[in-house]
Amino acid sequence: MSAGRVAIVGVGYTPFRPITPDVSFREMVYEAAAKAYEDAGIEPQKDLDACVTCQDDFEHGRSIWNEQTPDSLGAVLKPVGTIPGDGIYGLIDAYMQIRSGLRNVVVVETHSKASNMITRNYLLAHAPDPIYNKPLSQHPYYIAGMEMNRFLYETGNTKEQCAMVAVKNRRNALSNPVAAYGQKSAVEDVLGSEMISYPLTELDTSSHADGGIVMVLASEDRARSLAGKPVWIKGVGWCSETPWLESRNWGEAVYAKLAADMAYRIAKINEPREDIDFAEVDDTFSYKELQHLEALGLCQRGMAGRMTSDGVTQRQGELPVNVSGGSLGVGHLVEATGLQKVLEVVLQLRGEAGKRQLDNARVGLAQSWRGIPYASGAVAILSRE
Amino acid sequence: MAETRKPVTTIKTPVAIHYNYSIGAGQSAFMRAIREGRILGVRCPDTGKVYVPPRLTSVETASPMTELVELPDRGVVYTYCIVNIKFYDQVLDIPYAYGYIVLDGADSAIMHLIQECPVEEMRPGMRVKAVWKDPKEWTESLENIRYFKPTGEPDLPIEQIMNEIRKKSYA
Repeated sequence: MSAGRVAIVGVGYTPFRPITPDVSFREMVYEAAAKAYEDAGIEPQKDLDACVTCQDDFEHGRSIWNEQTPDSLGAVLKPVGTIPGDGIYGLIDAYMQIRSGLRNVVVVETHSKASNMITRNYLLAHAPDPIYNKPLSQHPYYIAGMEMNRFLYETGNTKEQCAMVAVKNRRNALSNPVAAYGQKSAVEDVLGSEMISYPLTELDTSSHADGGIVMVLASEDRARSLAGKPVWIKGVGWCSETPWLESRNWGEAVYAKLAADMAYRIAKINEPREDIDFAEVDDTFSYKELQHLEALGLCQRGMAGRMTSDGVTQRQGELPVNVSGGSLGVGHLVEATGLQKVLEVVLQLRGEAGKRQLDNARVGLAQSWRGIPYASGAVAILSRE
Repeated sequence: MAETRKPVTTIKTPVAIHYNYSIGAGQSAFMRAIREGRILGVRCPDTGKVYVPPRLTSVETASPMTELVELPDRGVVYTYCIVNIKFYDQVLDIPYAYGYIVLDGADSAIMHLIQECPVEEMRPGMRVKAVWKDPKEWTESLENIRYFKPTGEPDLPIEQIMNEIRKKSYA
């Protein structure tokens, strides 16, 4: 095996839906895996060298849960790595296994069965510090409200511009047949929806969805011998700020900036705004898209709102952002959220995005945020060539 | 500033999340059958092995498995243990036996209680059969079987157990 370039050679996914009572997580993963193997043109038992799976136990109400994956992936008796985090971290793990020359073909799996959580927001409410942050039993979105407020204050971006993000992404989702929350709406609808935690409204906030995503990664040699269109991983990065809410930078997504710096360095990108054709960035909350665009260097600080109101991030704009619909339009997929963003980049680069296909999709960026209450995330840069 | 008083060591911080659990199509078939007092397995199209409870894909080949097979409610104990300590909210009296039971015609086991057998007489190779609850109490649950008990038939010889285990293993 030779160390070298790494490609995504197959993707499989189930439709993203608010509820999926008819299938178990195993059936969901199997469907995504079977499609990914068909797409890659491989047989799992013969061709797979290893697999990586990304879930968190609390999402499933089952301990040591991610060891459940091998059967559904056809990966019994193979090396399995379990990552209790976002799917892009799994993608990076698989990338490193191949890049280092240890493996030729690695599969990455992640999925959401968020609808099975009856008291879903406890997932977030149990995360903040039990000594200092949790005793008052606040709704956990207070953290997003505080961050949004500080971000708008520091940058001069506005609530209206955040609302435009929510409108744009849900509108984009109408052209994505697997998105759960596509809708036509107006800025006034977002601003006038229920106030969750000022200045954050209900429609500034993504809703959960269920779905499975599986990707097959391969070394350059192996990718060249497969029939499908390889999409090359040009750079990856990830970063965590302090977990303490009390000493965080609330106005700027420093984790995203440093993760992007690393990914750009590996990808040899000096001018992200020039070299990145489109991006799928975290939009768990509308303001996060603006905050992340600035951190990723895709616009100057304080200019993301303006860029949005000028239509630059629309599907027909110069820098389309969250053409898939993002988490606001597709649905928030918990730990599968990052790979949904990678999935859209792959489909666009392969020219397989259907009605929402971009004309000039050459290099795309996918970015994830681990979510409340943390300041951490990952970036992957993908290219057609 | 040195602290000389007793340290504050813990605080209360309750954690609870409530869930549903989607069982899916494979388990749905099993649950529907057990509601009627029947036990279903599924046959692998590649190896012919029968898995019970049924699952979606073959452990060995990852092929979808769709051929449901009805199994008898009797089989052989492959391994067992005698549980001698209580667990949180325990309802059973200790000691009790828990067994790994391969039903006749199956290639995987179900796990269940073994009772009506003195613990010192428990052994691998012992033949057992299910003791069901009153049909009026049947629901979609493996608990429709109260436990397994010895049939009194001759044991499966140890050599045969070893051969069977080798045959059933996929490793």
